[in-house]
Amino acid sequence: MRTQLLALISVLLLVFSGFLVYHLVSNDDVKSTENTGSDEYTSDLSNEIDSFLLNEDYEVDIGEII
Amino acid sequence: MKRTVHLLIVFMLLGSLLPLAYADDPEAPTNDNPLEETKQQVEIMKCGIGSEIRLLQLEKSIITNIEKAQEIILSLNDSNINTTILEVILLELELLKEEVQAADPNATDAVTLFVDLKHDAINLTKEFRDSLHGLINESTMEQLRDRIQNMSCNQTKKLSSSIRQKIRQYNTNQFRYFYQLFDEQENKYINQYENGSLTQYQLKENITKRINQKGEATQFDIITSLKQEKIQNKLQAQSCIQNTTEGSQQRLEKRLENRLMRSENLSNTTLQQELMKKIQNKLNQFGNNDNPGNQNGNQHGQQGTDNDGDEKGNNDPGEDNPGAGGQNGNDGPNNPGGGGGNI
Repeated sequence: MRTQLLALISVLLLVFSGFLVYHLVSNDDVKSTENTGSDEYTSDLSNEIDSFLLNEDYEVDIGEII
Repeated sequence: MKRTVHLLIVFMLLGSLLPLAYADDPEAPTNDNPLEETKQQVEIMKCGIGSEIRLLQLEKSIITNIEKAQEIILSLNDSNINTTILEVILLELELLKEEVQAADPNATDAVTLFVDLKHDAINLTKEFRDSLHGLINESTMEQLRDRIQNMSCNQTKKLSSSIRQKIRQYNTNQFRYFYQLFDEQENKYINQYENGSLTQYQLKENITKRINQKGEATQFDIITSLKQEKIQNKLQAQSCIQNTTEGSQQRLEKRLENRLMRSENLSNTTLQQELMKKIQNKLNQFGNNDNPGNQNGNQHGQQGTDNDGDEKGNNDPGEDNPGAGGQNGNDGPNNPGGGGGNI
């Protein structure tokens, strides 16, 4: 029973570590430079272009008077 | 024993969810942080037209609050509530509005000026809000909120149209820069955008489509250039904001002295005297709290005697509007269209 428990904990730890490593590696920046698929480029490009443009409805926020 | 195993499994599963919680949207909007918001706002101020836009937007926000404050004061006067304290703050807000109108967008210190004046606007708004809360109860407050919610600010309508025009001009320069990135000139579409027959979204789609037609290497180069440019702009904005923290207390003192001088010309003697007393009190506090170590502090936390703290308080309008494009626009590196004189 003890051996089985240890084996189970080991397997779970392994899965957990794998999950952690996956999350550390697969962040957005890595995706955007490594994945050269057209969809990723389009979305990335669109976001980049947006960040260079101004929205006509934007307001400088100084807080509400009331 | 079996129970322990089950418990262990549950804990392990819960633990495995932790990274998900922390990984959630690292680039979430930073509206809760006024300093971060100001940093984004000054990113476009390296060219004259960007500075002009920000100063006009600040002026519009101040005018909106002035009109609302006037309405509130009128309403309280009807209820025979003494509003002198509010009227004095309103008077100072009006002096501040004049300072924003007089600010030169092409000046070398336009960013510092914008940051300082915005800071004052936030503080005076907060001062008014806090004083108002001390004068009336919650139910009257709700009534006032309803009353000013449906108010249309007449003075800001013309200003809004002017801001839209400037933003269109700014975005036109940016679009020219995008086309130049892949060695194309698309004056037809740019002109259509400029005269309003093509939307920002349509022009952006056109550019995205053109870039997608290029080879992967070109696409990669373009995105890399845009990212590099964005990082440079962010660093520059960061440095500008850091520069504004130096000598902020002395600048506030100067602004107050200037306001005190201008308040001598006001017509309403009672309010004029109250305002002069209020400003003088603030200036006196500088004398009392004269501590050189304080002078290079955080821009939003150490500008002299004003009420800082959370600054804006409630009801912040969102910075981003994903559907209509980003807010923190930066000028392209070469600012091909010109538009306004560079700082």
